[in-house]
Amino acid sequence: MRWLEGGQSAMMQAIDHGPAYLPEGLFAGSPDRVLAGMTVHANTISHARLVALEETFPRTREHIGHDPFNAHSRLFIQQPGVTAAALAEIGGKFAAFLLEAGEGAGVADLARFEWCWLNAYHAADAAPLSLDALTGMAPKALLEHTLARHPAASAGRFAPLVHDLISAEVPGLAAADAILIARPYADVLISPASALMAGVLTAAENPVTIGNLLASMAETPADEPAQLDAIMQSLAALINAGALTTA
Amino acid sequence: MNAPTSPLPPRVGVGLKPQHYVPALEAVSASTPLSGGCPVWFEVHPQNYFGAGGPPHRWLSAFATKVPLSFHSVGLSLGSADGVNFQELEALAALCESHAPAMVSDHLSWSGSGSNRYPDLLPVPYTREALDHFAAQVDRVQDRLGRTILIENPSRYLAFAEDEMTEAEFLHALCARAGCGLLLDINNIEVSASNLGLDAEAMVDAIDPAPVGEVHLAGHASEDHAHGPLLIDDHGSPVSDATWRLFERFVQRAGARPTLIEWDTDVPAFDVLLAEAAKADAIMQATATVPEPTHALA
Repeated sequence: MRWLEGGQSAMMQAIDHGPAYLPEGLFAGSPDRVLAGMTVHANTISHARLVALEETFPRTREHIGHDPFNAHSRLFIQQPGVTAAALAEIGGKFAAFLLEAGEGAGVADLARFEWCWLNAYHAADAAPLSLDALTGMAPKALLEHTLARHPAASAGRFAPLVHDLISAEVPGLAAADAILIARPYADVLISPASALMAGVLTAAENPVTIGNLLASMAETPADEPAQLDAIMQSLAALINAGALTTA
Repeated sequence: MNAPTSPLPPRVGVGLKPQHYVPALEAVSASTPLSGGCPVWFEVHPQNYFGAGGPPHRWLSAFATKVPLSFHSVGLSLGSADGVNFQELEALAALCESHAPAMVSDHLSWSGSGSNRYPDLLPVPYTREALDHFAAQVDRVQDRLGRTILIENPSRYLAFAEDEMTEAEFLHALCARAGCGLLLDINNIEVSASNLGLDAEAMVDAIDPAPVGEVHLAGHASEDHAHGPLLIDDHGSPVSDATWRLFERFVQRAGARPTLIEWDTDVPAFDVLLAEAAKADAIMQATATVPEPTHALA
């Protein structure tokens, strides 16, 4: 069997589906020895994928326990498309999988929170916008100043379980509407956020002037029209948290 | 055959791990450099720095200003029938652009296909067909990166029935064909020799030192089987006595080379790595009888 035409795909079949798929005569040596060698490779591959998930979702693993987490992980890496990703990306759909696997919204959201945290950690660096930079600007210049969501920032609503677990480290999180994840400098910072802050951050997903941002938020349908002062306070809170950057 | 290809200093380096960032940076920043085994260069797996930014890049930049870096890739999958993984290659090229490593290397292996990636270094048969294919992929990588790379000999648990040449013959032919250099992993030689019933000393002696731009030393695990021990290249323990002897044997013939202490699992305290590095440095200082090579390529 020529290697590039068939040998390599045969070896992949054996790694994925077991030694019954290994064509006779591909490797030299006794069947026992060949099986032992193939097992080393299969175990290395499986172990690396499982460890990547453990390292990506330590809180989720701790919350549900190692054995259930491991069982989910083993099923997850057999899902179509999962192993096409590099190890660093392998956990992208794990939260949705946990939900489908019956873990409930709380556990799935905990995994989603951890994925957001990891994305913040590895996001592109950018200088955060500071209130000092805006202080002293003439009103017209201030309204024309263009800002955007910092590459490492995200805010969202999570299940109460996530708020409860993280509130042990971040005071005020248990009662917050949303969780803000930001990394203005070296460290990922977690802080409570209001629904309005999350909305302002979403509105700044693409570069937008402060004037247009305020106008768009004031037009947002809601149970109660957002008041300008509240929007400004949310904007200031996001800037203080390092969640915005000058575009 | 090529001249030695390493712009790395012919001294000891260590694999850089996040848990060692602080003591390692302190060590290389000290006004009076540590003696003995203080690493004078560091190696990283570039795949750990493929994120857009964040703390890993800050640390890497900090080290890059102090010491030469070697990028030891584990993801190009040069032996894949699909060809080199271009996503990995572009990410590697970007990282090289931003951090200017002294050396770049990957493995004589493959890691799956475009639709199924295996986080492992799978073996390539030593055939003319595989050589043609592998050399073409090394060409593509070197063209994209604009530099010569090193290719590491693998740890083998399996030998192909259709092998047409020895590992050394394959590697020498590859270096001649592609113009790449060789990263000689001496622990891998011990592992492969034991698992495949080969003579480790003969394997070391068969290596032409000329293209060897870097040497790796690491530990391995051992499993007992009815058909004999199976050595597993896990980089999770001290360098074995047998690997130290093989290293000394190679250095006696080849002279001092940039030599890395690898320790990737069950990573110990930095001092333990320093002790291993000091041992390697001492062997090179005491054993090397061949003048240090002139580095032809950067």
